Amino acid sequence: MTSENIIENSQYYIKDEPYYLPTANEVDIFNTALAENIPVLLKGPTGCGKTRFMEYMSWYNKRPLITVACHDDLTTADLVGRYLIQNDSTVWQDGPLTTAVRNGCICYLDEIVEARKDTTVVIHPLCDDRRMLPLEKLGQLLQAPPEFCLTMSYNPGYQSAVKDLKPSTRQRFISIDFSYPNEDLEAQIVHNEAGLEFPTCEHLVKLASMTRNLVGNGLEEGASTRLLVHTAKLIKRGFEPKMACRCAIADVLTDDPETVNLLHEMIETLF
Amino acid sequence: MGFFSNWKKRFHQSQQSALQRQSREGGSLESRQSGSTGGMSTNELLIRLQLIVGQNSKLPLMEYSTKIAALSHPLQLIIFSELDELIDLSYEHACDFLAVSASVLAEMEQDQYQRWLSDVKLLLAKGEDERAKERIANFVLYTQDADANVVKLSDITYTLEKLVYSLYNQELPIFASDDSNSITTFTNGCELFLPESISYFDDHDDNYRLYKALTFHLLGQLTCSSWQSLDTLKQGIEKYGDEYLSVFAKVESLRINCQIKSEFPGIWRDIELLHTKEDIKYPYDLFDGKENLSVDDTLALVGSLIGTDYQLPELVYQSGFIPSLMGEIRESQKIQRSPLILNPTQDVDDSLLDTTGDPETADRGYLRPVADSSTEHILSNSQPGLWQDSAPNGESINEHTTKHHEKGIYYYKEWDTSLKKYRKDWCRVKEIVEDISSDDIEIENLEALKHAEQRIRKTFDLLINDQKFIRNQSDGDEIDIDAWVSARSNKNKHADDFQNVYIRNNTSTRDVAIMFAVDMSGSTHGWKNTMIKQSTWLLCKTLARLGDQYAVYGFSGSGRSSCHIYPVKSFAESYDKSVKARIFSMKPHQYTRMGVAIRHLSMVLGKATAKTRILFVLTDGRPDDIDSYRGQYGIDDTRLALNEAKALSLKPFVLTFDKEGMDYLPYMLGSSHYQLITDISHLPIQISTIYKQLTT
Ligand SMILES: Nc1ncnc2c1ncn2[C@@H]1O[C@H](COP(=O)(O)OP(=O)(O)OP(=O)(O)O)[C@@H](O)[C@H]1O
Ligand SMILES: [Mg+2]
Repeated sequence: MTSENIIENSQYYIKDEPYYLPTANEVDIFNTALAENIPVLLKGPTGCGKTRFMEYMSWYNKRPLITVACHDDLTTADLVGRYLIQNDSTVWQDGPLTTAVRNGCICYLDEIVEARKDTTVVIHPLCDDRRMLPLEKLGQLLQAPPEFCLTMSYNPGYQSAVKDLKPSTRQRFISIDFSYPNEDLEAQIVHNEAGLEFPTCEHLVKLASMTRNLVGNGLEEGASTRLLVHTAKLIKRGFEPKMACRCAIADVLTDDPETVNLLHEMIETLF
Repeated sequence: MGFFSNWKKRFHQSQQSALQRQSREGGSLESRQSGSTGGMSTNELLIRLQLIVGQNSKLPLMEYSTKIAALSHPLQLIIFSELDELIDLSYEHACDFLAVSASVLAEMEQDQYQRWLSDVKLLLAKGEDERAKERIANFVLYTQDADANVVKLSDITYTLEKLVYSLYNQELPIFASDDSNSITTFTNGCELFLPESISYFDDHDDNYRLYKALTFHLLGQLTCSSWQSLDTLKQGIEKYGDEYLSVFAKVESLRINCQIKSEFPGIWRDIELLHTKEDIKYPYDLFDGKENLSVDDTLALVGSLIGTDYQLPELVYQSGFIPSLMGEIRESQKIQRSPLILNPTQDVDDSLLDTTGDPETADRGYLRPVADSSTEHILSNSQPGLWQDSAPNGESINEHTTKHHEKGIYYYKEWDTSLKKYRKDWCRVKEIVEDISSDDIEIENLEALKHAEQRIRKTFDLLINDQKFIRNQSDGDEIDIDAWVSARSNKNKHADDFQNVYIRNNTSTRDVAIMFAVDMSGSTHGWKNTMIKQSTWLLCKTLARLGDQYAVYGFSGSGRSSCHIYPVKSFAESYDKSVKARIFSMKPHQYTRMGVAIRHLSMVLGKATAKTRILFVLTDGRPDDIDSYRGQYGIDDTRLALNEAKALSLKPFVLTFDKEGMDYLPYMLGSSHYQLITDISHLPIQISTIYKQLTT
């Protein structure tokens, strides 16, 4: 149970530098949190670069990154580990969280609010100054090494009373707010990711900010940076900008015909 | 006289529904009425007309009666109702109206007719009697503009307003300007005014382009800070007269074009199309390709052009610059600079703002006005109460601060589909808790109910069984020792038994809150009401088994100022005798103003915490209330209320007895959020099965 559980964690290392353009002081904050062993909460709408940021920080600090996509059926066992049956006997299999603790990785819980409430509680002892992970079924208490770091992300946009973090969970973290980058930076990002000429990227960003103004006015969420990158890639490949915006932005954002129409009008003003 | 007043009363009711019916159907007014009951006879009409306009009037009443007699009954009623209204405004005009009424109704389309009449009334209200007279006589003009090339502002207001909002991040309501002015396109910083309709080009699309160009030019006046020129402009006008203003307007429009060209290539393309149509020689070189133009560049250029014979092009999309309004814009921009509501996402090119030396005006940032008082005076002649624009921003500021101090009283907005706007604080809701003694409740049909209760219990028990531990799973929280043992013992027979040796615990996945909104309108009178009461009672009795949160509220009312909500069981209460008493005292009340009931109950349900929150509406017909909450109006308002509920992440579901429900429910709710119940005696069981579907 000891040596065989230490994973060959090279697969979790990010080898090439991911492209990440800092939009504020998030890199400094994260590094400080890392040094001080404080867990980090990334807040922000979808597609604004949270995952990319984690990859970048993992590369920057040369620490392996283990990502867990949370869903509403995620059990404690899925995180911590469970017994499997092999050749007439039971074998313990570490879950991703345990693996991260044992190996001193960065563990990234994506969309944490989706996870069941009883599941999120297991991270509590890990996130305060004890930094322990109890493995009840093994009867072990795992002490996290200083390299271990827990981060999680969530999108406060779709907040409903149900999908909210408990205060006792929240108050273990420091929070980095990810909102959309400002227009120049965002155009820069789109330009870099898709290789599309800059002026068109600027117009895409303008379109995105127009859709973001409509949030709550027919749209649940505005166009994300990710959508812009997709659109830019389509345009780069020779699609007509209007067509690309329709496929990659308007029709993606909503099904409501009235709103789609409005989005088409917006596209018409820009392209 | 008894006859007369009686008739008037009857008439007002039927007139409403006649109009409603027309608005739902299409085609010319007359043809739509075919198949309706025959109208009043010439003699009857003559008597009525004499009663209204007076016996000794010199009008050829007989001739009118003959003409009107040819129309169907509902149309005749429309004429009388309008006549009645007009006579209050002006006797003379009412007579004019009478003279043409028969031909008008036979020839005009519904919307044309309404536009014609409302124009006439508007003019009368303004005291422009002559023009009103002209309008009445020239009704033919209204039948002609069915012309496909005309673009009407009312058809595109919604799109333009949203477009402006998405750009400016601030509500700028759009209104049709008074066409008696020479300038029809202008803004005061809080509203945009555009011509009522445009038929300048022979092509519909070009006319629409023109609208867009005009709108963007008005927006340009605001974002390019044209108002900063105001002082110089005034001096110039003093010195050179109106020519200065006209040159300024043209040059400033060229400057705004520069901004449009760089920021909105799509609009610029439209504008250039208009240039070609108009054969305009556009002076591309006027600003020498200079970037970051400011209003000072305009003023400098105006200074050098004034008095020369340089020909500036006449632009079709020339917007109006009115010095007094520019003053208002300046004021509004100052108010908007209040730091409390700074809008940080607005990006404004600093260089465009940084033009005057005044440090205050140079400071950047576009902000929302504190209150939109200016919309009010435009529309306040129609009804009391504030009007509100469809964005939620204004709402959050105002809705919950005003007049909400009365206890148990709530105010809600309502969607006016003809205006495409919300009417703010339009409906007044009162929660009426009925306290009844819990004794002597008679329950009819006890045997049948017992049977139904058992069925419901069975359905629900299945739900409960769903939630316990599930054994023999391939994945789960714990090892299922029993499965493991049995797998071992059958080892040779079924090797894959070993796959399924986990127990999965599902207990906490069930997390439901449901709100039953029960229609208590007068039309549920009789056995429907009995059935509704019994089903509600059975449900309440049995739902406790599931441990789901549930509440029951009834709704009814009459008119927008007395919308009533009858709480039967709140989320906090548990089922007890007084709940039972309240269930059995549910009785039919008045009408069904569904939108406001849904808004109120969504609010109540929104406060419940649960993973699945269901708004279950039980109703017997379409939305319907006095004060013309009917037809498309009621349906559209209800539809929006349901959409708002969805936005609160509630799941609405409508169960209806209305056989015509399929006509409007799909439109109101989208598919699979409604069901029609044909045999009402199945109601209790049907509800429980739907309940099961909704919550699993
Ligand atoms: N600051 C940034 N630097 C570089 N790329 C960025 C940045 N922000 C966004 N992107 C681009 O946006 C895309 C989406 O970002 P990412 O996948 O990190 O979103 P996310 O915040 O994790 O979204 P979700 O919450 O949906 O998982 C990235 O693939 C990248 O192209
Ligand atoms: Mg992500």
